[in-house]
Amino acid sequence: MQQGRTAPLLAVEDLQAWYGHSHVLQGLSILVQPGEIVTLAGRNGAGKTTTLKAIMGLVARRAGRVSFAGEDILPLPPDSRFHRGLAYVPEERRIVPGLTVEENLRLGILASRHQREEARRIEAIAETFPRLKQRLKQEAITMSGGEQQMLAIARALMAEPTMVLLDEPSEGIMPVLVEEMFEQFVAMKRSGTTILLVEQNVELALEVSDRVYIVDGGAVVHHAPAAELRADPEIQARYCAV
Amino acid sequence: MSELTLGGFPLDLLALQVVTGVALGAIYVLVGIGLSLIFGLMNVVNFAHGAFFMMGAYVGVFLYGYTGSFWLSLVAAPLAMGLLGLAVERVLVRPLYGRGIDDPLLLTFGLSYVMIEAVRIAFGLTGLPFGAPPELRGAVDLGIGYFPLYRLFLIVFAGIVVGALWLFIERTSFGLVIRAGARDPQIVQVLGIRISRVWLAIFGLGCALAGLAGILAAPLQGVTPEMGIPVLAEAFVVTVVGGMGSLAGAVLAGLIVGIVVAMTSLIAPDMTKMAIFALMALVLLVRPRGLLGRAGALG
Repeated sequence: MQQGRTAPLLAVEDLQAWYGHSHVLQGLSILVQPGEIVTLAGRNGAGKTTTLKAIMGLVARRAGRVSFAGEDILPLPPDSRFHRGLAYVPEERRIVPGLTVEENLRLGILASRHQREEARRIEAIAETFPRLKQRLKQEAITMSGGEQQMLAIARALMAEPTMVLLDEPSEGIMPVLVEEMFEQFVAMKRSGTTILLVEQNVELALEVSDRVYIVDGGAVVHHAPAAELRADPEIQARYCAV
Repeated sequence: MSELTLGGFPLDLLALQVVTGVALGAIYVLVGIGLSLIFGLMNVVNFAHGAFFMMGAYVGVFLYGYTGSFWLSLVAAPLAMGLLGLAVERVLVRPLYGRGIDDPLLLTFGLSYVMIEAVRIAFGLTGLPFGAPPELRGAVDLGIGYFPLYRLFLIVFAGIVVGALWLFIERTSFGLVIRAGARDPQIVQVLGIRISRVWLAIFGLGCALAGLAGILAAPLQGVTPEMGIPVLAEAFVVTVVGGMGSLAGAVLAGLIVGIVVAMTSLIAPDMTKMAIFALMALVLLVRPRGLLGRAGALG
């Protein structure tokens, strides 16, 4: 393990979460170092999405420890976690209906300390995501699923977060766009953004990730460098088959 | 021109009655927008909205008695009701979030009776007479007949307030948060916005608009502790007809309800109440979401 080397950016220890009576996370622990891309893999219902939600503060009943940049953030509401540098792109994308692409992007920065740089940030983001550039004045919800996913990611990047939580970004998106998107993740990593990724497309996730945690039954059952897993189809088949 | 008639009424009279309806509608619009904003954003049905309307009128009339300035009352009444609204949201309504729609509804229902009783204790049971301020008395010739200056002022003033509100919601960052928060409060929080502060502000704004409508309505009818009760019912009709949470819908529906009330009171004065509820039933049958539900400024 890498704990000794640098202080982890995100440390999740013994995380528990419940939805009603169902005990979804049962002592999940992960570490993410600054600048890494880490993937959470595992079957549907293993607890990956709940893990991201709990890190962002969207699960009401939870226990354990989530520390971000050395601070225990578990008691904080989601908006405070945003201001600490965490961004979250939910599985359903959550593009706000009735707003244009540009307004969705503005929403991503107007609460942040970068608010004054709004125009410059929108311009920079539009350069990074050329598909959005031509559609700034279009109602966002009328775009294709892939474009909406791009927008959801772009919106999360508006305030220049330290770390982005991405839930199933490739779901329901044309393969050519998925490739484009994963190239973005590599570019984000290069510019210093840390990524925690939940992804069903394990093959693609392994290509861009540094390390992988395999989650099952609400806890981590296996942990390895991505390179090691790439060479081990047996583990992939055992835990990740849908 | 004055010889032309429709259903036995001279056209000029009918046209004048439409303008009267627009003036009445201006009040409904202001009350309805607040109710609609609060419901659209917070899922809170504010049953105390009529009581804020009434108390705003009392604050305005009381201050007018002291200062003699209607314009001061016009500022103070919404300000006082806005502040009271902030306190009510923070202390009474906020603990009830996440407990469904019934609890805040029952709370504000009870609160409305507390407010009515408080006014009865402070100002008596019978109400106070109140007329238009001297500078707004008299009538203007509209070409179709003479129309009371105060009602004309009402139309223009409400138009300015609605225009300012529209600019606020469509053109400012806070307005963007309001529009987004009405659709998806959770994503707004994830993007760093403390949604509870937005709700607080909206509740205050809605109550301020009710108070403003109250002092604006005072010269038409005087003030009584019960004056908010029928207005609440009419404001509900406005929000349902216009579409919950839609600013443009509340404006359109407020004007329609005003005109329907004015026309019905000309033809069959006893049936005005029935007419607006018949209108509501009709709209619900044809468009269950209201005229501009999910298409107006807020969604």
